[in-house]
Amino acid sequence: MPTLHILSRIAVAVSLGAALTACSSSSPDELAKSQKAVDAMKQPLEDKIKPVAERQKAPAFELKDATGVPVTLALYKDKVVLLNFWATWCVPCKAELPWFQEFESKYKDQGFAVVGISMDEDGWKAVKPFIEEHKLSYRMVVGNERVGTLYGGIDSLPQTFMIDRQGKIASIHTGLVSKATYQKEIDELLSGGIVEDKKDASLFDTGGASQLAFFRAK
Amino acid sequence: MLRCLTLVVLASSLSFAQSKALVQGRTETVKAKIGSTVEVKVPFELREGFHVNSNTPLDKTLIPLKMTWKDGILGAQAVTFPKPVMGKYKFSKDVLSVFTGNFEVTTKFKVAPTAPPGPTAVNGEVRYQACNDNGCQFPTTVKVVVQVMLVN
Repeated sequence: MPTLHILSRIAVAVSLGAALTACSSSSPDELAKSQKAVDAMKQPLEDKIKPVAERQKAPAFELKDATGVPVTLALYKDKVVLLNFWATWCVPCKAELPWFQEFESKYKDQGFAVVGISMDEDGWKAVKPFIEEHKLSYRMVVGNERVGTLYGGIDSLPQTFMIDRQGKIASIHTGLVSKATYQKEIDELLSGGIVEDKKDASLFDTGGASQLAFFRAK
Repeated sequence: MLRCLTLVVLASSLSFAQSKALVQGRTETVKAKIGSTVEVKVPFELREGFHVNSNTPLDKTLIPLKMTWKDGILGAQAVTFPKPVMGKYKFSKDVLSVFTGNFEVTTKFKVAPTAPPGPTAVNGEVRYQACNDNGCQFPTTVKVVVQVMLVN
């Protein structure tokens, strides 16, 4: 028991020092957000495709592409979608972009599409020259905090959501994932992943947002 | 009961304190003569496994580490960064100019000749963008404070 008391006091002393350090530089909100980002980056590199019954609806959003045309997930009804959050300053993101370009070229006729959501603060000013330089022709939009929140809070990049033909999130990848993993998942989702519940017709509504946190926590 | 509550609150704060990839290290109070020029070294500690872009990244799309100081009794004249590490990471075929581990940024300040003697502080901020082998955090700004004792 005395040992426990000593340990508790040491813990209090250490925590007090750390707490004072923390309070001197950042607000609790900033720190909490940062902690979430660090935690997310510690997650396993490769998630597996969820069983159909466990998948949640992908939250609906509307963002504009480079020409000002509104892009929504409803445009991709019945397609497998690779939804990738990225930024021009994110080097691991850049490793994945050519793969996504290749995947869309290879599988677009089978009902596959890539949608890139750039989280660059400078928006199109940063993104337009980048996509031209890297010859990225798949659909690209500029995101915002609201859409990030809909997808559970995008606090680190890259983050990629594989969405099945029913508009449900089949897998989430936080961080750099191997090309082979994406390849395998695209093959799997294009060849199957049929939802048994046919009553669930409104697949791209906003109801998915509230369920997403639960999905990610699993 | 109160002790337990304190422990929970403080443990929670400890968890937060560990969350930023880059934090200002323990910085000694600087003694400076009024009217003189003084060099201030600010230590930074980077979380294990992380790196930040240096002040001179090799790719124009990358966000450089930048340090700025608020004007006051001490005016910043020049900021000197350490020599960057040319790092090779699994996610890039190119070498990256980064800072890793613990490092110091030095700033030369001019103390106003009209400054009153006694304790004061200089406030600044460092903007950085950190990554590990798996992904990147969003660009972040951290406040920096240095205590200064002004003497005649």
